[in-house]
Amino acid sequence: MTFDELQKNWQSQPGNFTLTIDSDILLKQVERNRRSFVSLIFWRDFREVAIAMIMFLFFSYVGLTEKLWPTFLLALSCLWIAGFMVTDHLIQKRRQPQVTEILTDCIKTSLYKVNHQIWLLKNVLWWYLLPPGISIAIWMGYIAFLEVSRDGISESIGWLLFISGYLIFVFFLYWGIYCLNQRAVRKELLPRKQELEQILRNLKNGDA
Amino acid sequence: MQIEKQQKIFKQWLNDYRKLIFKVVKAYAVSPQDQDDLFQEILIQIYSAIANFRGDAKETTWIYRISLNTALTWRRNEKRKKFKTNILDIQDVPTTRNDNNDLSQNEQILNDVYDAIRKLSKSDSSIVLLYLDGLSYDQISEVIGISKTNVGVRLNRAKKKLTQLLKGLIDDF
Repeated sequence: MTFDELQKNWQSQPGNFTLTIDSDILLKQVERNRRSFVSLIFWRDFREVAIAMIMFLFFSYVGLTEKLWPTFLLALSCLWIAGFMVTDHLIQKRRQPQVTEILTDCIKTSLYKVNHQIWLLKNVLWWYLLPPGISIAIWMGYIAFLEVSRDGISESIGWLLFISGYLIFVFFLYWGIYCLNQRAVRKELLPRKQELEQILRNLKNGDA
Repeated sequence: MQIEKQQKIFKQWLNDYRKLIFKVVKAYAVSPQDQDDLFQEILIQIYSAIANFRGDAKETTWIYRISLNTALTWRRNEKRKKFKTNILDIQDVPTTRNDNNDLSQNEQILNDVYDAIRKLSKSDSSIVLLYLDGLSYDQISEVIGISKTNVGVRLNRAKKKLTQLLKGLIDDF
């Protein structure tokens, strides 16, 4: 068989599938799927920002009523996370891959998106973990300082042990979150990046 | 664009290009579940993109572009799957040789070709798909975004690989 014959054969192939639902129902389903996914993504982002904002309001309130200045650091770290997420979301929204672009451009934009996700997760320590982590440590340190100043070290041993235990717990929790993020980079995003780079290289090879 | 017009175009395109879309789907997804998932993903992308269709490109080029872009960047997504119910009833999915015993020789050849296409790199398989469907070098270049010369070079290489994969079936090279 020659390639011309194969072409003819290919073009005359019957549709070996049927749609189990008619086009009206399918249309409704396509619309519903699209809306559901858009809504899922929106609520996922909204939930994280909303939690950060609620925490910001809560810590600000506690800071004002209890006159504990380190609480404002906690509030500020929550505000920073919410602000970072919203800003990043708005900037990245403009760089979404468009399926109507030519193939190479679509792959490039997808690659940009994956690279950005890798950057976000690799730097999760700096924008997500460290700001509240430092604030929690300062807050705990300040509480310990107040206790020791008021009751002396011997009377505050229980408190100091509790605070030390809590800080160790927070450290391991953050370490776990950090490791999970780096695992996602290694297992999912880097292979994806390599795959997209490979496709792009193959497509571009010879055009340079 | 009015929603009614968008829906009308979608139904028309679904009717006209479903086989074209399915060829792309079958080249990039193997299991019936994945084929169903990718098929729906492409339909969602086509539906969403209708509002941007200005008629500058041919409908076929447009549909190919969306289908290939979606297929090449598609990944199984369990979160998305929960919104979907199966819509495809696929009659012949090549899993093992024994499954195809009752298929006609022509279908057997096509199944072998699909198997071979899946073994090519994703970029080569996209060029081969467009070539087999009879698109000109100009059209392939328009869909993929590489020069016409490069289309020729890449297609030639892909054809050689395909010939090796389909030993005994193609004797062009």
